[in-house]
Amino acid sequence: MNRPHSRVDVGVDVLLRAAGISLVVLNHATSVSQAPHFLAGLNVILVVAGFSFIRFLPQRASASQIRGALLAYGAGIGWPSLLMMAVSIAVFPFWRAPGRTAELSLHNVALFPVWYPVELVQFIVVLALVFSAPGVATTLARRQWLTTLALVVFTVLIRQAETHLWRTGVLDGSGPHLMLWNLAAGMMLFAATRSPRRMLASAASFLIVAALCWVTWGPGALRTWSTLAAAALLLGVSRVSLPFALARGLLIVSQACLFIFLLHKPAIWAFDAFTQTTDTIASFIWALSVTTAAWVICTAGSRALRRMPVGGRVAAVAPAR
Amino acid sequence: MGDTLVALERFAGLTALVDGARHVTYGELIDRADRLASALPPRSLVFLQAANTVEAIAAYLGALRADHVVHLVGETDEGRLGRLLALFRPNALIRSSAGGVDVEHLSGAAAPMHPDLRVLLSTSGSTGSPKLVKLSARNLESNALAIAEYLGITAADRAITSLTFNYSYGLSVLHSHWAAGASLALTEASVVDPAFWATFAQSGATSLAGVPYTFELLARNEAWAASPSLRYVTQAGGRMAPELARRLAGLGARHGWDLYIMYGQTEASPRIAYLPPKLASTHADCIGVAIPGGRISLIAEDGSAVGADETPGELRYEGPNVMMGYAEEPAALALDETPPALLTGDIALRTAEGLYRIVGRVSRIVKPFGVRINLDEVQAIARATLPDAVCAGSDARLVIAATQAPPVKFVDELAASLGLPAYLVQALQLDEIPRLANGKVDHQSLLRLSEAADDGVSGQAGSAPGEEAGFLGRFVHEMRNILGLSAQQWASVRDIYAALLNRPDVNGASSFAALAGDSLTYVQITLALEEYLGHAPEGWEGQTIDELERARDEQTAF
Repeated sequence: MNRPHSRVDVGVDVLLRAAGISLVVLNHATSVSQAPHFLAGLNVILVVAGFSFIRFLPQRASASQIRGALLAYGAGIGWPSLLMMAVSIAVFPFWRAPGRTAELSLHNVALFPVWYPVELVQFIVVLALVFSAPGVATTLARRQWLTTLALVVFTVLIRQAETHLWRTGVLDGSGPHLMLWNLAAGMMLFAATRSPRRMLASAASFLIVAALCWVTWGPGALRTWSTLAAAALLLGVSRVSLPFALARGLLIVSQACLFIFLLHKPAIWAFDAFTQTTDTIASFIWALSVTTAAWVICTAGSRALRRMPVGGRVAAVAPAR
Repeated sequence: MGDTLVALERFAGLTALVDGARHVTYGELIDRADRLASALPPRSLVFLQAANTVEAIAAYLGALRADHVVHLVGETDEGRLGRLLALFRPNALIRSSAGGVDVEHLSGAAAPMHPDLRVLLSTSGSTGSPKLVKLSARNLESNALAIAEYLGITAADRAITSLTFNYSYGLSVLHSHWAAGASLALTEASVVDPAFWATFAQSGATSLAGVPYTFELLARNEAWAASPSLRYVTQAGGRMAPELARRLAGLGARHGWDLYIMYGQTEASPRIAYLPPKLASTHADCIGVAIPGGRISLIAEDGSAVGADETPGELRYEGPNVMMGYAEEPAALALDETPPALLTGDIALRTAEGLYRIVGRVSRIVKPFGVRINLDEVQAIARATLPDAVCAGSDARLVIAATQAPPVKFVDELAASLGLPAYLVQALQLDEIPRLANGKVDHQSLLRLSEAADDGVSGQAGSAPGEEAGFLGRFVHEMRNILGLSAQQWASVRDIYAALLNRPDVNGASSFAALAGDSLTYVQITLALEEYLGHAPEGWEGQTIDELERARDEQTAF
């Protein structure tokens, strides 16, 4: 029997993902009339996602391997997102919602659960476009840090340009195209840890992220400090040792990140509708729990369906007295 | 470096490499090698990705000729390579690419290196940790000459590249052929790929080098054995079943080639012993005699020399090919830590004919009740009754597993023959013997299966946990696993990857990164590895399944 140890080494990216998704839920569980809001989780998740995307590429990945990984990444996130979009639109037609216009605008769509899958699908599309550009994937395979730095610059330019071209109402500063630089920054942070000049690349990466956070959100914003904390942890601490029970809880939330991301808002709406309360903490706990539980149930069901037999199976035991 | 492996001008007109229809002479190889090496600063530390290509081999030769120190890495060692680069800070990294090799100039801050140091190799059992074997010119040359001598390699010989030269066995094939002015036929195909044998036939290769698994694969179709140009076959890299060795020797006798069973360790550059081919069919369970210039002795548990025949002791080797020590940090590169002799960790005995036979490993000795039990001996006893029996054990239990049902008195009789109480011995009948990705028996899984049987985890004999109760039972079982209410039972790293990535096609060379794993499955696999390995090694996502298995079941014999 494989027995768990009392302490487990957990990657800091895993913990950050759990913290990030919790902040997302907490932000939406907060009543609109209450302050402060916790607008920071998505930035942390995106930085971690960029970090992980490059981390899980073979270090000498070819251009086609990078595109293949992107495709797999997109399929893993895209199909559930599209499914969620379809269900959400069927169940919550946004044009019938009170206070909304029939205009098919990002502003209108964003205030429905559909915004989250849309966000993810847009990320995949933008990434696919970036990596299908001639030479990007090839250059990334050879000069990781410099390429990711260029990606950061490119995505910042996208942000600057699109802010002037596309008004997104209450979502100004929060649209996926506007936060793509977080993803690129995560890539750059990981590339820095692999660079032959690690210290120099890490320091430069951190300063670049700090400068961008400062300029984008200002020095007092929670998202500035949470993104910087995430960057510092990703650069400086690869793993932390935690008691098994605590680690297990955090790891489950981290694993359930996509489920929570897609489902938390309907869960909060349902809670508010049924309880008629605006209790932030209760709403947060409910939404996090129910969406995590949904992941556990779906994952257990999926594994039960395709469970692989172990290599050796006890068929009979000649008794040891 | 001495002349043997680098002053190859003496063979300038002879063919060094055969790459398809292209024949590269030693003269051309030297030109190419020197051009590549001239781009590096003097006495550099070079990390070189070994591949069976003209360019990679030329780069290696060039580095040796220019007096650089070379660490050879494999093509799938990316995670580990990253850690080694950060630790040893080499001057250059040479990677194989479609167009040849790419030279990447790095920090240039390599630590001081001992003047005798030439090559750094990974030990076969330490691929998860930055532990390198330091080899000098003397180590490499003496071993190459010894191998060339006992194999009788001449300039007319041509080996096919069935191994890559970052493995000490593959490197010794390269060196021993250089020492004799012989040639190599280049291929990166597997021995089960028809392209491999097409290359073999077209190039007129005269020898084949393989590990036991190679010959297990080849045993399925013996057509290869009739290759008309084949002069000899060598086997190393672990113990081959004597039955298979006898079968190979028989094939050789029928088709006119010799079988050399060999033994070694990377720490010995790597060859230590060989079995003369005329003894292959009669002494297939032996590793033979020491190579020319080497000496084998046996050491008893109390440190005294074993003098008598048929008396087991730890195999000790002395010779000019014994390494300069290990390097686990850059400072060690400056030191010559050549041990007086190499203690191999293998238990061997000397037969009356003067041949050595491996009978176990020091790590395969357990002491229940203080009784010294060699698990390999127990396995041999058990096989008299159960032909495919395998044995695992600890100081608390012995487990015999086989696919046949053990006779009623089996456990009692075996325990009595070992002088142990019967409750320490357990016999399991399994549908299939659990094996690691590299084909070796997974002893840890056997122990876990035994414990599971004791714990009653499986609920009933005949099923693994969770498999007995249909979908609902499995669902509950998986829920408990996810929530950490029960520990998952994994038989191997391959099972973990197959189950959690839903990729039943994974093999030993697969890594999480290469399988396009993502952050969503990363955590699941981290947890599973924690449970299976005891910890998830740093950078595990870049390591292959074989490397992760080896990190768990360290075997240093090569």
